Amino acid sequence: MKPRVGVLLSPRGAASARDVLVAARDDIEIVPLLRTGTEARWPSFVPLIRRLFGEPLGIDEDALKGPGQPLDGVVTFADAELELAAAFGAAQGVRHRSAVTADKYHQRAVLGAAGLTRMATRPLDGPQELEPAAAALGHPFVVKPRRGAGGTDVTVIRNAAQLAALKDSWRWERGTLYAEQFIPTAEPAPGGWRADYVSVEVQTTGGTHEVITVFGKFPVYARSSASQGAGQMATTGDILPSGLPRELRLQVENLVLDAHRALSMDDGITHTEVKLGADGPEIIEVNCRVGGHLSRVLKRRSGFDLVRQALLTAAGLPPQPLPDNTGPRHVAGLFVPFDETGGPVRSRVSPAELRVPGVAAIDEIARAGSPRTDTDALACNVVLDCPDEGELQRTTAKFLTHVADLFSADGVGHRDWTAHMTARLGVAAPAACEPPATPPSGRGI
Amino acid sequence: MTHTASPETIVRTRWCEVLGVEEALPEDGFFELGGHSLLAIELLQQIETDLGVEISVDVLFLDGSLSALLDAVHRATKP
Repeated sequence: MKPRVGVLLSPRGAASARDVLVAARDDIEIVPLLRTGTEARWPSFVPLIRRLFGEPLGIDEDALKGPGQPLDGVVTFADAELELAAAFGAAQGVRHRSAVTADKYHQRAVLGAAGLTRMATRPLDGPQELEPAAAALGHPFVVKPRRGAGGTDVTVIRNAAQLAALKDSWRWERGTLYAEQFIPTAEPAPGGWRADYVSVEVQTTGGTHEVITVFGKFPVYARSSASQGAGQMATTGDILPSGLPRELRLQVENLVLDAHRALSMDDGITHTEVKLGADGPEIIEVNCRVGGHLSRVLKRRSGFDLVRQALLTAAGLPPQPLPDNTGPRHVAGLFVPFDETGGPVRSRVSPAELRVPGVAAIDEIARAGSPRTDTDALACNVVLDCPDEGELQRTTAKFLTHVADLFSADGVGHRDWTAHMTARLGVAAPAACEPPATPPSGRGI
Repeated sequence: MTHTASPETIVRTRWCEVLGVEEALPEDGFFELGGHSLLAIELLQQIETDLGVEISVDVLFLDGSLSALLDAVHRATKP
């Protein structure tokens, strides 16, 4: 009989429903779990789950009753559901991951006690505590959710004006956010175009922690648009291989493994972000789930499925062998952000127009007329696959120039991340001009 | 959609409508052309309504190619 794994699903998860279906193959039975109220919030999601996995079991913190047939384990890929999945797994008495370490404020305290971080933190129970936090931590500092929210609500406060803007737009409940020191960045290597941070994917099985792989990153983008709130950070993609020199990579991996031991991480997959700081690698945060959008990149390069590894761990089945991280191919997942997150998409772009040499897959594309928020304010989200690093660099530059042209009616390529990156990659930025106030005819709507 | 169109024409037309593409090649992959899970269900439902048959979700979600979808529709509509 196949092991039965309860998966607490969410439209905001790091793995899509399809990722879970594909990862389960034919040796794991997926028992779909949904937080009560999901149907009201995302009406189209529940019919999808029903069609893929059968009737979902509704659960919440006050309703932890299991299905008729027992489960072998429980897992979730959604930050917001880590605690409910842990509570449900505990109530069923089956394999699950504890959610204690999901609290980033708690994490920083444990890592500090173990001598694995130098970053000071402050709790934030309300906007009145921002100024004392600034006084204690100094500028710049970071305000972020205690529990992962898929990268949203992270703000870098660099000056008093940004602090005042955050104070005025405060909408969070007590205990949601905390403040911590900004990690100073190391000087970038000459000609470097990657971000100043990496992510390390770790599997823990039977109490043993092992590094699966290390992802390099495209530089994050601090949106400047007023509707989003200046300073809000957007991630822009992941790169394999990471590009780290061997010694630095080992230093990063050892730090992350030490952190897992200090945090007593139990079985499962984690996604840890590490800043390449001026004083050496520094952990940004440990996420108690698979990293979002990463599995597609690793699968393409080495055939290793991060989502399947999480399911195998929850099922109590032997894990896949670790991936071969050697090989020349360079694969990247690239998200191109809109600077302005509000309003509808103005540009009319078809997938075929994005399918240029080097683009292996188009995972998301902003559709004309739809709210920009439908794609989390991304113009597109694609996978690039190139024979070597130089080709990836050239392909990325050409692709971004192409996207700036296709989405110019939405301001892409105009003093934004795309313009910055094309310059950083060694390509002249498009002529600086303001996006048109009204959409032009033709490509715009 | 007119029911005098062949099943293959219906599938190709719906594929193009849902993905927003002008051309549908057999080797095209639904999830490599900007398709996602909700659009895939929408496509399956449209084809099932047009043709009055049921198509396994695995065809689109596990394989994802237009050729696999055409094969499944061909099998489902074969007298």
